[in-house]
Amino acid sequence: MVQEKGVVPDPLTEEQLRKLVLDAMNTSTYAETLETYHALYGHMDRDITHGDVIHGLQGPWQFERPPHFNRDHWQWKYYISTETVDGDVITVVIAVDGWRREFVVVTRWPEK
Amino acid sequence: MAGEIREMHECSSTTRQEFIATIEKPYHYADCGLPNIYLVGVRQFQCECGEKAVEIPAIKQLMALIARHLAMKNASLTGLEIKFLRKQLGQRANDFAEHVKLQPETLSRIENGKQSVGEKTDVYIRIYYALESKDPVLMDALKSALDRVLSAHRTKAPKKPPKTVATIEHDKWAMAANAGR
Repeated sequence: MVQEKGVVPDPLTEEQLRKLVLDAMNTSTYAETLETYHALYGHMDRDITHGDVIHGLQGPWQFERPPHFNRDHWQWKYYISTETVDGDVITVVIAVDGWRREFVVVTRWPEK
Repeated sequence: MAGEIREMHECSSTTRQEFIATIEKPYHYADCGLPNIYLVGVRQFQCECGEKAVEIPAIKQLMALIARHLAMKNASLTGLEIKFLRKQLGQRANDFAEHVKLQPETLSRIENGKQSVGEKTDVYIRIYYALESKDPVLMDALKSALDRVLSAHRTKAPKKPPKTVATIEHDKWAMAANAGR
């Protein structure tokens, strides 16, 4: 169902998003995900691996730009600027779906 | 590549299909960086527009498990497997090359499949990974292997233990040379 009206929830802070992501990366059973979020992984950009994503999300990162609210999916999308294991700058995009209690991670190389 | 932007899934579809990866139809986990890893039991989602996503619980544990499997496998490590172990340790290529006593250019050629890895380097990388990762299973395996090597050099204990002498000098104790050997 496409939702276009309603009160837009507040976006997560960097600290809240960091906790959500790290919890999901460590959660090992579906029972545990009742308390945390499910981590879904979409397309990784070429040459970026999940090892890079884990490294980038565990290390220091910051928002590349302010979060964007998608009214079609009624979810916040966060753009995280971080680094691969080899120190290349990447952007990790995280779309958090509060209703399904899941978030989707995709990556890309930054725009020059 | 830099400059290539693929925006995140942005269609307006709100329905999606769900599949569970089975042993007959496992999920090909290419995003881990290895070409031959398949997952069973994970949920896959496909949007009406064709976009796919996979749910991977405990991804850190999964990556550590794959790395452990590589470090213990019988066949030689491939370049991509060495790259996987390096990334699992979170080390840049130059740092890793220094730790495993390789020239950075050599490591690059190995990781890119342009040069095969020598037997000693292969072993050294596995040992280095075990020690750095502190994976308890690998550490146990390493300890057992070390015990086997050392026991081959141990001599039988003499009936009468040799005299062991400790001396103090400037308020500091030290074993005398050859003490107890």
